[in-house]
Amino acid sequence: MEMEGPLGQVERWFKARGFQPLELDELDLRAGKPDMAFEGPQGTVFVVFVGREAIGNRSYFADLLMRASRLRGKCNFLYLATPKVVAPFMDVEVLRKHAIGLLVLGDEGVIEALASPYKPVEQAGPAQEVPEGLELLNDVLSRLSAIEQRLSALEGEVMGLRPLAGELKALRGLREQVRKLSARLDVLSRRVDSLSARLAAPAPPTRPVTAPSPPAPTAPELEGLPSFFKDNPWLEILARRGQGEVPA
Amino acid sequence: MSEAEYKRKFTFGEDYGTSFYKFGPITCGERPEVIENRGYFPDESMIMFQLMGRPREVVIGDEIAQFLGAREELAERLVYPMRNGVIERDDERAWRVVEEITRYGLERFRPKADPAFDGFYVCASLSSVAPRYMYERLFEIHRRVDEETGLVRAITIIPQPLAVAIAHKTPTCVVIESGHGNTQVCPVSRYPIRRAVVALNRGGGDANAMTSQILYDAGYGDLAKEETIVRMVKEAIGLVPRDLDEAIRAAKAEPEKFRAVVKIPGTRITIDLGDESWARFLIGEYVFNPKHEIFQSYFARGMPRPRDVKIGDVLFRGMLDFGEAIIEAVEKCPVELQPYLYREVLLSGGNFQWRVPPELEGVAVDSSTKIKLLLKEKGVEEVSVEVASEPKFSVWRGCIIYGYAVPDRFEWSWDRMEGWMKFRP
Repeated sequence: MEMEGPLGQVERWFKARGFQPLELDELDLRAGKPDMAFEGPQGTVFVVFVGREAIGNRSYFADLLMRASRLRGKCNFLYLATPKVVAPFMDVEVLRKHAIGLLVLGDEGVIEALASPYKPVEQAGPAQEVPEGLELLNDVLSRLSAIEQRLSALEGEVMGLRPLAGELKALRGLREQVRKLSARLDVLSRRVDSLSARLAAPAPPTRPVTAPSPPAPTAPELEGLPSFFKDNPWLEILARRGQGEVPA
Repeated sequence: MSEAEYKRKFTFGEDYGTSFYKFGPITCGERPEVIENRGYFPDESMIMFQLMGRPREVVIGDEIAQFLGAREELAERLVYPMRNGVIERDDERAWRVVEEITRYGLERFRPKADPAFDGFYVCASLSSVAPRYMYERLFEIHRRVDEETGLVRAITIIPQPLAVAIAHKTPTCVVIESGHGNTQVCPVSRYPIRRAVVALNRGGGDANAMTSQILYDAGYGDLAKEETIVRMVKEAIGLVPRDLDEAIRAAKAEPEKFRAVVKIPGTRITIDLGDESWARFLIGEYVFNPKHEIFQSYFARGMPRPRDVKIGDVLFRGMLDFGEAIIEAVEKCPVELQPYLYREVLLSGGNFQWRVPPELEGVAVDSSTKIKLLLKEKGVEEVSVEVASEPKFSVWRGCIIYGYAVPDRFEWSWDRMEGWMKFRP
């Protein structure tokens, strides 16, 4: 029976190229398992699926890449399969560097955005693996220790800056308050100026509500205004707005 | 001081475009100031901010460059609020950017020591498909800014196509405003005819996508990801064909004549499409008519097809060609008016700035010729199509005229969607 959804899409795509699905339980892998595996005349293929979490979540993508890298030596071809919406967030250069291919799954089917190059399966036995693993572990531990030392030195520096940071924060808050007060004062002062100017001026004659609108500005009135005012019929049209004309 | 005298100094225009915010008072003259219509939300967990105190919640303008981090972070933290012309009602981050940009724009032109100043008459402009809640939010933002700064005496909001028609002194016309993310086709007859507006989910961004695909196919996959380079290449080599099939035939027959070579200034990069130079015609054709069968192979290879999308209450059509869109908009208007509308079709926005190299005249055409050809194919011939001069500033200019000319006593009406909204007694 054929599978549905993305699994089914990928299965159909590989079957069309002469590959048959492999049972994951039959794979003898210590480095974790892929999400799907296929076998064909050209060799074995592993497929790892990318979730939507890859959008904006760097640690998810890093974990996924490490998982895929661990599997790279165990198959001849390795692909990440990603929904179309996630595809723009995939860094193809990184995949190319690790000899990993990319399949994009969308409404139109499966698109091979990046082909996986062929690599022979690693044949290393357990006797060789242990020392290699130990060496790697030692290397990681020594790097970790160096990072811890650097972190501790940084913590010391940060602690030294703490008191200064408190003062800076307080100063920043004060500056913000002064800025707001000054702006408010400006507003009030301008309003007072404007009100006193209006009180000093003679009261304008009251205009009945139905009074005709002011005529459009004449040429001398437009002097000094930008060129797009010149001969613009809209000036007259707009000056009559609000006088009972109904828009379409 | 009379109303006219006051407005000669203190009318303020605001164009909230898809990529840029154009703003400034009437005293700017012919051109406003321009900043990118975007905001950056810094990562508050950064140790620098914990030590030095938080920066502003949202950063705008040139300052953004100092905060830009890794590429994958940008999609999450860099917000272009008007990319689609419509902001979702609950997209609070987008509204925060709009508020910050508005405050910045008005503060930038605060008059120095002018006792007559009691706030600007602000005329803002939004997409013609902006729903009512966008008007409400924009009024609210200006009210808050006025409370804090005293810079807004009254505000009105008009649709961008109306502003374009005003700036081009044309009371009856069809305006096609095409920005980065979308295109609006709006008939105007002294008022914008809102029920006849047709919106397209296609703009300059789609021409960029096509250019990126062409670069990828020509072996420049690494550059195809760089948005700025893609835009530069589009502007340098993109052409609109009179007839796409004929243009491709001509370019394949004489590859040297049509060869597309771009040198990226300030770098060692030179892009040469070589034998693939015929593809430069696809860039322009895709904007005007994505239905041509040649694009099917691109869609099949994963390039996203422009889809119909509903944003707010508005349906943005994906695959309608520009000719069909104009006809659909005009045919929603009274029959008597239709011939007058076809007589003035105004093209506005950066998406219509296609050049025609003199040696390729006849094969490549400008935007107005292409629109006429698309309309002619559909039986509409009595047409005059004009590309707006300085399209980038048309909307701002229309806002300035509207703000200057509409009387102060005409109060905002939600039925008519025009007039002045005042927050002070």
